[in-house]
Amino acid sequence: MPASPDEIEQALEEGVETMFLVAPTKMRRGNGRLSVTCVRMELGEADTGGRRRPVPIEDSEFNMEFDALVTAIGQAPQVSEDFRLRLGRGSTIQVDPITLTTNRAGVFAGGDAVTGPATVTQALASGRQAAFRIDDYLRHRYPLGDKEAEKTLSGELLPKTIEVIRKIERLEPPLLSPETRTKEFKAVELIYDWESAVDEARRCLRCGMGAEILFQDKCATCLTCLRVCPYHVPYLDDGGTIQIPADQCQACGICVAECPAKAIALRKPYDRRHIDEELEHALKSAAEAKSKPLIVGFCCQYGLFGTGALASLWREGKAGIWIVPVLCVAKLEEGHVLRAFEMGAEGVFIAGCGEQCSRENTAFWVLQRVEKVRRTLFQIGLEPERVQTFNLRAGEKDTAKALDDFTEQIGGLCLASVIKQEVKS
Amino acid sequence: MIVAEQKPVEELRRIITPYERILLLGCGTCMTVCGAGGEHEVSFLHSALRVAEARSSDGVHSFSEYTVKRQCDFEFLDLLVDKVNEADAILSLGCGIGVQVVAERFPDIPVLPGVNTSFMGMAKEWGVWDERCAACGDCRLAETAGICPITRCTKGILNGPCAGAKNGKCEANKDMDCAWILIYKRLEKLQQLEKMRRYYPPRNFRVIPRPRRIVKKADVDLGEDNG
Repeated sequence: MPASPDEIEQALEEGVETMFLVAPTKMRRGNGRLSVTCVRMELGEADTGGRRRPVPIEDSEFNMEFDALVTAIGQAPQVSEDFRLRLGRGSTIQVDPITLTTNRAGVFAGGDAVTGPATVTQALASGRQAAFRIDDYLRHRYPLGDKEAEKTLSGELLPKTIEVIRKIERLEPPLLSPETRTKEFKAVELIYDWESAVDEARRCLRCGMGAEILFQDKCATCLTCLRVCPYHVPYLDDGGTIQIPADQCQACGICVAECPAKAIALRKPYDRRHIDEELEHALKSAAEAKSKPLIVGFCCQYGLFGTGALASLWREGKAGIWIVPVLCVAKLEEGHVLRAFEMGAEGVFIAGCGEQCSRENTAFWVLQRVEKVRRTLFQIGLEPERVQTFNLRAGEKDTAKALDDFTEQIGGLCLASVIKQEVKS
Repeated sequence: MIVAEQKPVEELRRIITPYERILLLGCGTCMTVCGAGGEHEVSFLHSALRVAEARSSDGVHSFSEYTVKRQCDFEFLDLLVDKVNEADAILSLGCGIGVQVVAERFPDIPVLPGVNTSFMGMAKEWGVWDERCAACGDCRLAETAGICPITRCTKGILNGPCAGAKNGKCEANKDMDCAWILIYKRLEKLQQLEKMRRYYPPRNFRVIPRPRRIVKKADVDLGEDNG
C-alpha cells in the first residue's frame, strides 16, 4: 500500500478497517444506498521491476453497501485549466529538464507539481534552480549548467565527520486525538508551538553554503583550516594543497573567520556578504534613528532571532539596540565587531544558541574572538566590558533582563567617558 | 618558519603619530602562517586603528592596506609602487627581514615595524607556537637525536641534563620539558645511547661576523671570449 507508515498508523487509530488485495470493479446507486462490487486479488508473477502484480481471483466478487464513498487513489497536482499548461503523467506539469520552461513562454514550473510527490528539500532546490533559469531566460541565454559538476557534489559523508555532527531528532508535530479526528474536518496535524518551531528550524545546518578556498594564490597552506574544522573536512592532497570538499563541509564558517590569509569564503556570494550587509544596514538605520546609546547585537539567526524577546527589542528601537542576524555566531569575525564600534556603537553583544546550538565548538571560537577584540579595545582606551556574550536559549525568560542590564551598564560607561572628557577639557 | 607577535595597538598608534597616510603592509608567507601579519591581521589592525581614530578627537590619519606574497623579495614589492606613492609611511607587518627589505626597496619613505619578530619555530597546535631553531650556524642535531639543546634547553648546554631536571621537566619552568631528557629518551628508542656517553667540547662561541652571508653561486671565470 503506497502510504507513509505514520499515515497507516493514524488510520488504524481512527478505527479504519483495511481490506488488502481487494479492488472495486463496479459502483451502483439504489434504494438510497451505494453498492460497491469488489473482486479479491492475489499476487502473481513479478514484473520486470520485481514487483509482484496483483491479479483478480476468478469468481471472488462480492458486494458491499455504503452511505458515502470517498475515492482516495493517490495525490496529483491541481493545475487550473486557465494556465493552459501541458500536463503529463499523473497530471504533473511538463517542463524542459534544462530550462525548466513549460509549453508557455515565460512560465516556469518546479516542485511536486512537476516531479510528483517528493520532499520539501527537493521542492526548495527546484525553486532555487527556477530562479537561476528565469535569470537566464531574462538575459536571453541558454543555461550554462554543468550537469557533471552538480553530480559530483553529493558524496557520502566520511565516518569521522558523521561522528561529530550532533544528532538532533526531528520533533513530530502533535496530532489531534483519534476521537476528535473522526468527528471533525480540521487539520489532523497541529502546528508547532513557537519554541519547537525554532528548535526544528535550528536542525538545518544550511550546509549547502559551505566553505571553499576562493583565493588559492593567497593560501599559505598554513593548515589553520585543517586544525580548526570541528568536522575534520579540510585535508592535504597528495600535491600538498589544501582541499575543502564541498559535499563534506558543514558550513559552520569557523575556517572562513580564522583563515589568516582570508583565502576561504562561503560558497554562495549572498551568504558571503550576508553579515557585512546586515551590519551596514543596521548601522545606517541606527544613524537615521539617532538612537543613543547605540548597541549592536549580533544574534544567531538559526534560533535566537526567532524568539519573541529579541524581536520585540528590535522593534522597540528606543532601547538603542540594533540586531544584526547572523547564520550562527561562529561566522562572526572580529572585524565585524570593530566595525560596529567604528561606526559609533557604544556596546556590542553576541548572542548564540548556547547548548542548543546544533554545531560544534561555537562558543569556543566566539569567546576566542571576543577576547581578542576586548584586548584591542583596552589598548585603544575603551572598556573591554563593552563587548558581551550571551548564550541565550530560545524561550529563556532572562533574555530581556540580561539585555536590560547590559544596556544599563553601557549607559553608565558612556556617561563616565563624557564626564572624563569634560574634566579633561 | 619565522614566528612573530603583533605589537600592541597603543604602541603602533604611537609610532605612526607623525605620519598622515599609512600603508599597512602584510606578508603572505611566515607572518600569515604564524598569525601575526597576514591579510586577516592586517584587516583587523586596520579596523582597530580606525576605531581608535573615530574615538579620539585627534583623528588625522588615513589608512590603506595591502598584503604581498612575501616582503623579503624585491620583485614582490615592485607591485607596490603606486600604493607607496600615496602613503607617508609604511607600517610593515612583515618580520624584521621584511621591514628591512621594504625599507631598502623604498628608500624615500619611513618603514615602521608592526610586529616583534620572535623566533624560528613551529605551530604546536592552533594558536600555540614553539621555538625550535636558533640559527646558530653549527647544527648538532645528528648527535642529539633531532632535538636541539641550544633552543630547547634553557641553559643551552651541550652535555645535559643538568641537575635541575625533575620528572622530565626543566627547573626554570615546570611546564617545560627538559630537552636533554627528551634527547635521552629518543636516543634510547633509536638504540644510540652511546651518544649520551660522549663528551661534547664547548662550542666555539667566537663572535659570528655579522651580517652573515651565504654565497651559493660559484665564482666562475667566463674568459674574454665568452664575455
